[in-house]
Amino acid sequence: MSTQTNAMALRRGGYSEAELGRLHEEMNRCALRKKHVQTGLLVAANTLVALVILFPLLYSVSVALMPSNELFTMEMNLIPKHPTFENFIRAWTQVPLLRFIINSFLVAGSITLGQILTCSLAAFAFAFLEFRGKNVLFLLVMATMMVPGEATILSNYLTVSGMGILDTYSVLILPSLTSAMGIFLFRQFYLSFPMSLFESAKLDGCTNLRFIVTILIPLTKSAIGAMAVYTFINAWNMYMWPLLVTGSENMRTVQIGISMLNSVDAQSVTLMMAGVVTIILPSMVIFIAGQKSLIKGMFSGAVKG
Amino acid sequence: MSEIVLKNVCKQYEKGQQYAVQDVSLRIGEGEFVIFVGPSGCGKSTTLRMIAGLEEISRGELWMDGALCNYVEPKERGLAMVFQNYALYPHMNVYDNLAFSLQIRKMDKKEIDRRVHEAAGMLGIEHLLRQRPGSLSGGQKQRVAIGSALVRNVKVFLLDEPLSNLDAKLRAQMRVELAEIHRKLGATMIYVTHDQTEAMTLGTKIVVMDQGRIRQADRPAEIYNHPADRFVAGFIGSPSMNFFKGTIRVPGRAAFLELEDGTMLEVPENRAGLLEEKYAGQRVVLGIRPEDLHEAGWPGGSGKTGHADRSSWKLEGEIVAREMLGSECMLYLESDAGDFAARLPVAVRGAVGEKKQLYLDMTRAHYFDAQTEKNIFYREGRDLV
Ligand SMILES: Nc1ncnc2c1ncn2[C@@H]1O[C@H](COP(=O)(O)OP(=O)(O)OP(=O)(O)O)[C@@H](O)[C@H]1O
Ligand SMILES: [Mg+2]
Repeated sequence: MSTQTNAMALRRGGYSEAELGRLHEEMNRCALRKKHVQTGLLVAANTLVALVILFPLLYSVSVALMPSNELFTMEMNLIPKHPTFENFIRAWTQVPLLRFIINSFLVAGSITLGQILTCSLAAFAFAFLEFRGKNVLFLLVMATMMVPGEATILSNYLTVSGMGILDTYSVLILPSLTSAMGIFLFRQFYLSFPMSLFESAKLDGCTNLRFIVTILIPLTKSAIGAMAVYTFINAWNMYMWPLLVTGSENMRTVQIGISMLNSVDAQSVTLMMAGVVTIILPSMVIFIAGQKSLIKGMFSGAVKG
Repeated sequence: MSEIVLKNVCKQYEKGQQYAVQDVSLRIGEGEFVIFVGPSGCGKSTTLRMIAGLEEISRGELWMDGALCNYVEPKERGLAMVFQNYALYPHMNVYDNLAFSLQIRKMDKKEIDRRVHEAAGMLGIEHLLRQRPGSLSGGQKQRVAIGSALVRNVKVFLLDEPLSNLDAKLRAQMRVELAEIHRKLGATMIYVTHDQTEAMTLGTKIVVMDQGRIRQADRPAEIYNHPADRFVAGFIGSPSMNFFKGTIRVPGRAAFLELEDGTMLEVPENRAGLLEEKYAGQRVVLGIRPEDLHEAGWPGGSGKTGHADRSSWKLEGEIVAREMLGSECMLYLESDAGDFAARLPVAVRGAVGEKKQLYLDMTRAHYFDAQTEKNIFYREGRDLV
C-alpha cells in the first residue's frame, strides 16, 4: 500500500492532490485567456479587411441615402447627415425599374435553367460515355472559350436580326443557353464522381437518363447550386448584348435601365446610386442563399471524401 | 444452365499499347467458384469487367449459355457485380439500395419487399435497412453491396476484391459467409482476390494470371501440389516456395541434383527417369515449399522414396531470422546454394546467427526447366506419376 502511494507521489512530482488541482486550474485559465486573445485579434483583423473590401458597397448605399446637395461639397462626408429615401422614390418613378427587374429575372432565370440543363447533359456525355472523337470534341468546346465575346458579338447580332427576333426575350436568352465554361465545370465535377456507381447502375439495368435523374443529380446538388448562382449573377450583369439587341423600354434589363437614369435627367449621382443599390439586392439575395452550395461545389472536387 | 466460355479473349485499352489481357481461354461451368489471382496489373479486373460487359472485348469470343455475348448490353447478361469500393448509392437508405435494381425492372412492390428482406436476413443486415450507407461500417457496407447483388436472383456473380477493404477478422468471417451463400444459391461466382487464403479456401477453381495471360487454371489442390510453372509455384503458397538453381548429374546408377554450393541431392526414383534421360548435365530449378523442409530425425519421405539415399537430402544454412507464428515457427536461412525458408515445429532449436542443417523432402520437390521455367513433370490436365 505505502509503496503504491509513494509511486503516485513520485509520478506527480511530489505535489499534493489540492496543489495539483490548483495548478491545473491555473494552467487552464492561462490557455483560455490566450485563446480568447487570439480569437479577438482574428475577429478584429477580419473586420478591418471586410470593411476595406465592402467600402465601395457601403459608400454607395450611403450616397444613395444622401440628398444630392450633400454629395457635392468639399468636406469629407461618408455618412449622410439628413438621410432620405427621396432618391429611391425618384428612381422607381422616373424609369420603370420594376419592369427592368422583372425582365432581368426572367432572362437570367431562363439562362440559368438552360445552362444547367445543357451543360450537365453535355458534361455527362464527356465524363461517363465512351464514343469516338470524344476528346477532339471536348477540345473544340474548350477552344470556344478562347474566343472573346466581343469578337463574335457583331456576327451574332447579324444572325439574330436575320432571324427577326430583335427586341424580344428570346434574343436575350437564346445565345446564352449553353456555355463552354459550364460544360467544363460540370465535367470536372463528374470526373471526381465514382465511376463504379455508374457501372453498378448500368449492371442494375439503369438507363443513362434514369441514372442522371435518380443518382447523378441528387448527388451533385451542390455543384448544380454553385453553377446556378454563378450563371445567374453573370446573366444578371450582362450589359453589351442586351444593349445591342433591345431597343424598347419594355425589353430593357436592369443594367441598361440604370444607365437610363443617367440620361433622362441631368446627371444625378445620388439617383443612380439608389438605382444601383436596388438592383444589387436581388443578386446579393441569390448569392447569400446559394453561397453554401457555391462554396461546397467549388471545393468539393479538391478533397476526396 | 449457365456456362461461361472465354475463347482467346484479348483486351487492348489503347491502340498500339500493350495488351492488358491476352488470349485468355477459360470454361466456367455452372455453380463453379472461380478465383482469379495474380500480381497487381496482370489483368484480373479487366477480364472480370469484360465478362460483365463494362469493357469491350478487343478480340476473341465470350459465350454465355451457348450464345455469343461480345456485344450484349451489361444489363442483359444476367449477372450481378460487387465492387471493391462497395458502389452503394450514398443518398439512398439500405432498403432502397437493395431494391434499386428491382425497381428499375418494375417489379411488384410486394415481391421487392420479400426479396429485400430475404437478402437482408441472409446477410444479417435487417436492422440497418433504414440507415444510409454513410453511417455503416466497412463490413456492413460490404454486406449491403453483396445484398444488392443477391436480390437480383441472378445465376452469375462477379466479385472484384470484395473483401480487400476489411480487416483480417472480418474478412475471415465474410469468407465463411460467402462460401455459405455460394453453397445455398448454387450460383456461379467469379471472384478476384489478392488473398491466398481466400483463393485456396473459397475456390473450386483457381486461375493464376500473369501479364495478361493465364498461367494455370485448376482446382486449388492441383495448383498447389502440381504448379505448371515456376511463376505459379512461387505465387501460390505463403511464404512462397524456395527455389535452388542446380544441375542434373548422373554419375552412376542414380541421378543427383547438384546445387550451386556443390551439395549433391539424390533424386528419388519416381523423378529420376525423365531427368536422367532428358536433363543429364543440364540446368534445372528445384522448388521446395517451406513445409517440406525438416529437422534431422524426421520420419522420412512420403513413400515412393525407393532406393534414394535420404541422408543426402540435407542442406546447411545460417539462420538470419526466426518468426514465431504461434503453432509453427519460420526459419529464414542463407546458404551458398541460395536463401531459403522453412516452416518447422515451434520447438525447433536454433537462434539467429547459428548454423542449422535441414532435410529436404525430395519426394515433394518440383523441378523446373531453367530456360522455359515450366514444371518438367507437369502434364496438361493431370499431373503424372
Ligand atoms: N481504363 C484503362 N485504360 C488503360 N489501361 C488500363 C485501364 N484499366 C487497366 N489498364 C491496364 O491494364 C492492365 C491490367 O489492369 P487490371 O486492372 O485488369 O489489373 P488487375 O489484375 O485487376 O490489378 P489489381 O490487382 O491491381 O487490381 C494494367 O496494366 C493497367 O495499367
Ligand atoms: Mg483489379
